[in-house]
Amino acid sequence: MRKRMMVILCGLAIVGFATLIVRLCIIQLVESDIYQSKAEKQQMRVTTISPKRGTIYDRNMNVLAQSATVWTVFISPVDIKDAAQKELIATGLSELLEVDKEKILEKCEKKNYYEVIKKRIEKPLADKVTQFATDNKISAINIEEDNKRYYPYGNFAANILGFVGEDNQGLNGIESYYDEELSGTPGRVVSAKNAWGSDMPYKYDQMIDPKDGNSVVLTIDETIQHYLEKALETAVVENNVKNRAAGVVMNVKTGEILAMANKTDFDPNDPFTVTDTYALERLKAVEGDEEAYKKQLQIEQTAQWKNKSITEPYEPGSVFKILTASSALDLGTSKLTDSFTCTGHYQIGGRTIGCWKLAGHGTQDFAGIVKHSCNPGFIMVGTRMGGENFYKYFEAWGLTEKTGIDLPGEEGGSSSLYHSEATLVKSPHTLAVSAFGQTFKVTPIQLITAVSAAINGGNLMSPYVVKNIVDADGNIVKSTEPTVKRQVISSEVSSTISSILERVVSDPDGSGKSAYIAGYHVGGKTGTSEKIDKKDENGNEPHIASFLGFAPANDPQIAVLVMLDEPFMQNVYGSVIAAPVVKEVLEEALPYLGVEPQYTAEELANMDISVPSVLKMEVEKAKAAITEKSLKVEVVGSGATVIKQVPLAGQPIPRDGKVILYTEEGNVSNQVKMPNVKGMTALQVNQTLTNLGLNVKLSGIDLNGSTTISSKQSIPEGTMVEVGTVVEVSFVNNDPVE
Amino acid sequence: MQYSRESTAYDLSKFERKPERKPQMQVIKGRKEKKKSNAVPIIKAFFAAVIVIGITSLMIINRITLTEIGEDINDANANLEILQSENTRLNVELEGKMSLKNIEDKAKNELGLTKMNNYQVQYLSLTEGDKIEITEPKSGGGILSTITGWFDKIKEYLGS
Repeated sequence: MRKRMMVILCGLAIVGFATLIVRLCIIQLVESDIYQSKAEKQQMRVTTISPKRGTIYDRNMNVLAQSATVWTVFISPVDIKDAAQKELIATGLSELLEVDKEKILEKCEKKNYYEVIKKRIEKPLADKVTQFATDNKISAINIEEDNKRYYPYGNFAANILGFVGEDNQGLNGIESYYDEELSGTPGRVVSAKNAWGSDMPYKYDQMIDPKDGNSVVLTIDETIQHYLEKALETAVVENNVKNRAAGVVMNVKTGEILAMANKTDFDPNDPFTVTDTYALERLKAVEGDEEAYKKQLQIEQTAQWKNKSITEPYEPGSVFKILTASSALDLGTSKLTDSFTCTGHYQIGGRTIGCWKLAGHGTQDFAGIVKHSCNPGFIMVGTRMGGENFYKYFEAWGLTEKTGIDLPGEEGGSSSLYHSEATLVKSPHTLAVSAFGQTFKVTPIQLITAVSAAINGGNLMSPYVVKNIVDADGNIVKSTEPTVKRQVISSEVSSTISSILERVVSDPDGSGKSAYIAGYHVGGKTGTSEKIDKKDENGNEPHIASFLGFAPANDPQIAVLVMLDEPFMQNVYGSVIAAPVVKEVLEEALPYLGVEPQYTAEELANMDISVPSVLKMEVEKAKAAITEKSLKVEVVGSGATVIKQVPLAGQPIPRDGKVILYTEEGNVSNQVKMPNVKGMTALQVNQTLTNLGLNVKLSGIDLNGSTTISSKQSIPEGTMVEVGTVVEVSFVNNDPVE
Repeated sequence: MQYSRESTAYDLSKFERKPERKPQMQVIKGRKEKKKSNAVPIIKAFFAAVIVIGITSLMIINRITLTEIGEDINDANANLEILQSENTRLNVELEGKMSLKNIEDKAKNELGLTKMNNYQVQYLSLTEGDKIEITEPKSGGGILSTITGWFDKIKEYLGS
């Protein structure tokens, strides 16, 4: 009996286990693929890892653009419990995020899981939002990671850097041109998730690392860029420039762009906001019409994003004379000893072309026509060259093609912008006006590249903005080397031209004397051109005033081109308003670059003196210390010790200036109101300010010239200043030299 | 011849079938049967079970710990990324405040400073031309070092 029971039980057990084993075998061996794939579908997650966008640095590794993580706040309207919670969410988020409460309430009414309240907020604010949601037990408020591009210096080098769009894609400037390098490659993580959504480690873990974007090191020098932007900003305001100003600073030997700026420009942190005064006026005019406003807004935004230095061809005017002169000397059709007679006009091709100096320059040599920017002189030079040769050199200077600079949107080189060889040959009048830079168009970058070739030994360099591309570990993956496109003129001619252009600035009758800097050999050329295609109903043509300067003239290192488009003032000539801007840039850039000034004896004799420190000294000792420096002194009060001095110690003061010493408490201030001294001669300025007890520092050359008048004063009219304060007054030659 | 019943070769009585003797059994009431002890196999089974359960538990605990630590690592990495990004943002903000424009504005408008003029900078030349350094021989020592010194000087003189 027992035996039988044992047998039956064993039999049942065997059958049971056999069934299980067979089923296991079927699942694990026969149908394993099906179940494996089901498990993978349920457990596996593929997550994309966004790569970090590369950084943009200046040549000294200062950060100009960098990305960081930010957060987007969104709500899940379907998870809002009741009306009270809705009100709480709207009130709380509205206060924290400064968003309209009504808009939040509208979004709360929607029937979905995802409504964005505010994008790209920073960590401290995101933490406050999280705290608010936690404190009030609101599960409907969430935050998700996002990326934001930061430009720490605001509207600095804006047209070079460009900006990014919503998806961090480059839309303008370097951000766009090098978007592929900067973006990197996204990575993927394949992992198994458990029921709670967190990783099951070591199961199916496969990661393809993201490749972070490479970083870009520019040739731009932050300091020189700052000098250029500061000078342009001032010029735009002082000269009422209506259509923006552009400036380029280039290393003439290598083609590196050290600075490039447009003013007015925009802030890449907020690229869609228009800031230009004239643009805002145009927008205000169409404010009533929504459609027209949108259209005008788009026009203004596009205009402010354009890099004027590479996208807007213009008539170069007399700056082009540098290239005509260099070409003629190299060709041999003109010599330094040639004689040119200017009577104020020139007849050619049945037409009369006038010189800017109506009375004419008289007889001049080759250097003379360059110095005086004489139009008839250059007509003769161009005519001697002939149309064929003129075109040959025009092409050789690179003016029939784009420079190839690594920035998007470059214009120039189109055949509609310049005259063909056939036209120059057939039409003597066209050749004549082309010889002095009118009736054809080039971009500022084309012009400065060509002029750099004229002064660097004759080599046409390829301009570039990116020096290196480095990976996330700092290794250089790509480097740009200076490239010589071709030799245009001989090094002897180049040296000769540099010397002549130095005289344009240093000679008392040079057209570029407003760019003169004591202690430095500066060369340059003025330029003024009319925008013939922009004539208004009264027949007035707006002007472009420009100046191209370089230094040191004996061994040129850097060239600076400044162009002011449609300045609105009485005297719109390049010599008057553009030359001082270039002077300002070179005056700051040359010492920064380590170029030591070499003062002449005359310059040293006219140099200012640093005021010695005499505070807390006995009055007699203080007076002796001051008179020792060839300065005058005035003591106020009857105290024994000096308690205050004006000007302060270390401040520059002209020789024969006066230092005021205060010796009594309660009698330490004597103020006067600063008058307006603009438009006066040097003598008038000196008299006016000296009578008020102020020290006068006069700058600019040829101060005794009859056409020299003051253009700028360092202290605005109406300001209350201490007696003894040094007031700097700048002078320009009011001669309208083109 | 006389036959003996007694065989001297074989004890045939040994081969005779003996009557079966039935064992005499007595039933003793009130006494329980003594059980034989089976403890050793049970203890063995118990320890085996403990070991198996122990190993299984350890494996489970190990898995749990791995998962938890994995979670902690992920959280820490995520936190690290956030903080690194915040560091980047703050550095960028700092750079913005320290821009050349801001520094110049503050120096001029708030601190009343003026920019130095070029002629106020004095340039110093640090190059002094070619020169060589000759190390001095050690002073002191005995007569032997003095004599050696004389020989060195003589050699130097002859060499030059």
